[in-house]
Amino acid sequence: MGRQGTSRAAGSAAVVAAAAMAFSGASAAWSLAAAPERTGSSIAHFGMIQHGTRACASCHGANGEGDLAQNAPRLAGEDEAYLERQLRAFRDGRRYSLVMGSVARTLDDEDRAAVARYYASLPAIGEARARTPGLAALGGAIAHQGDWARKVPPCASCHGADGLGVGASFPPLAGQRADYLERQLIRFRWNDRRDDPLGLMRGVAARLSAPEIRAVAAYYATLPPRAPSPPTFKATPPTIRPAPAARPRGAG
Amino acid sequence: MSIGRTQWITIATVALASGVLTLAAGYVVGRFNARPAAPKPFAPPAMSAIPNSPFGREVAMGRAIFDDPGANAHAFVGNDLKCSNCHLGEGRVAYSAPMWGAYVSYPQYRAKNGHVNTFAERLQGCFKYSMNGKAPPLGDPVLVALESYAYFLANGAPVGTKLPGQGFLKLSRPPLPPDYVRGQDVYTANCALCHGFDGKGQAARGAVLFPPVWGPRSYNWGAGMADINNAAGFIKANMPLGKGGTLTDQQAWDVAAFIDSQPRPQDPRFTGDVGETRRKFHDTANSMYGRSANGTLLGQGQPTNVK
Repeated sequence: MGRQGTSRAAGSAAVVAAAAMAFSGASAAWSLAAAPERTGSSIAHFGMIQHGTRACASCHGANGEGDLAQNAPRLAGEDEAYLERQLRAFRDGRRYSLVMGSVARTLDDEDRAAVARYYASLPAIGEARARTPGLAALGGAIAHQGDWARKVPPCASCHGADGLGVGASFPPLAGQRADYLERQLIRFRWNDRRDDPLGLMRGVAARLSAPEIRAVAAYYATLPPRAPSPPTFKATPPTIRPAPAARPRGAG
Repeated sequence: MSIGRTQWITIATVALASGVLTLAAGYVVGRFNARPAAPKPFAPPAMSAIPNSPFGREVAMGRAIFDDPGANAHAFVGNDLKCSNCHLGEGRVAYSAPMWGAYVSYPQYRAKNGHVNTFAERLQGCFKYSMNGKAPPLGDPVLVALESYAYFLANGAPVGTKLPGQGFLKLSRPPLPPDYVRGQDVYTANCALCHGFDGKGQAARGAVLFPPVWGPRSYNWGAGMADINNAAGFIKANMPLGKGGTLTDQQAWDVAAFIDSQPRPQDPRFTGDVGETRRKFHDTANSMYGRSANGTLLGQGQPTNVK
């Protein structure tokens, strides 16, 4: 059926292309032939060329694992509602990023929901080890005890004892990239990121020193990330293929 | 007549000198007008100072109960609150009724029950009212552990003097009487993010993260926090968490009045009659018990605390 659909689309594309040859035949043919059903996965891996949407995977990695060189955080296994809220914040400029702003403005409500759902369903792979154990220990103390004399409550009081967050406003930190967490805290600290509700993070980050920020980021990078949520998209029924004739069965 | 070089120098010198004088005067006046620095609250010992001894293990057990009474003192807890929800920073933080301040304040006469209370009896009250649960009997391991923890935190604190940071912040009455409607606006803008529009708080993965501030899983009508003045002081000093001191006194009073005008579990001292219970236990401007708010009579229902 997919094959048939494609050839039909290609056929009509050819007709349109012929009619519009003088102007932009090639691109018309491309957009008609290659406008498949949008899914979170398709947007993540291929973008939407007809809307100028770059593939998320080009910076965030093929498995949503993030990329240090691109300053791209891990998205796999993040909270769905939080991801959606961030995409809206990027679109509106409440959270500023040249790259993410330009991408987010090409997404509509459905796209945002689909992409957020897709990444939330992927298994998260955390850093799962302390690169600098001493640093992570200091970070752990701030995360769980805070420094009340400086009005720094423990991170855990809002992000949970396990660092996995709650709801759209308190994102999971556990297993997130240390470099990303550190950069965000620094941006909160310098009032450069302003989408935090009630200015809570700007307030707390401003009272932390740069080494403390690095320590907290290092600590959360070592915590195990969330187990993947069960996929909510509709599963494709398995294709039934004839079994190979003489395939040896494995033991057990 | 033109101004000569010498005169210029004179003018410049006078101008400079007067500028310096103004600055100096401003500094001196500022120094004298500056509010006296708030007295430094008592600093409890670090948690790492909990000794590794039989007593230290009792302290550690008290700390564990303090942080999660639902798990570690289950039989005596009837709601979703923890000691550390109101006694912030594991009972260490000034102006949120720190344990070091409480420990050195007992034995004390309390009008609430008309006799001299020991610290252990005061702890019983927390379970009965704030935790909407059951008072552990005197000598119960739960009380012994909590008392040990409080004693540890009070190590070095003087007995019999008022300590700065003891109890909750005492706010003077606001310019305008506390108001439900204004309080609702303050709540919606500053509190609902964590505690929810319905006051139920939020849980994550089975653990309560943001405590319920009203409703069946919150403190009952007999709790200290059900009095608007206590709630206002706590809120002003500590809320929103990490932004303590940013609400105005009026906002703190208003939002406290809003929160303490919501339904919550019955006072365990309920006599069977709301009016009589109010007269006996709640006859102050700080309690909305037995009054109507938002069209509902407050203080309805039977006690639900653990029997």
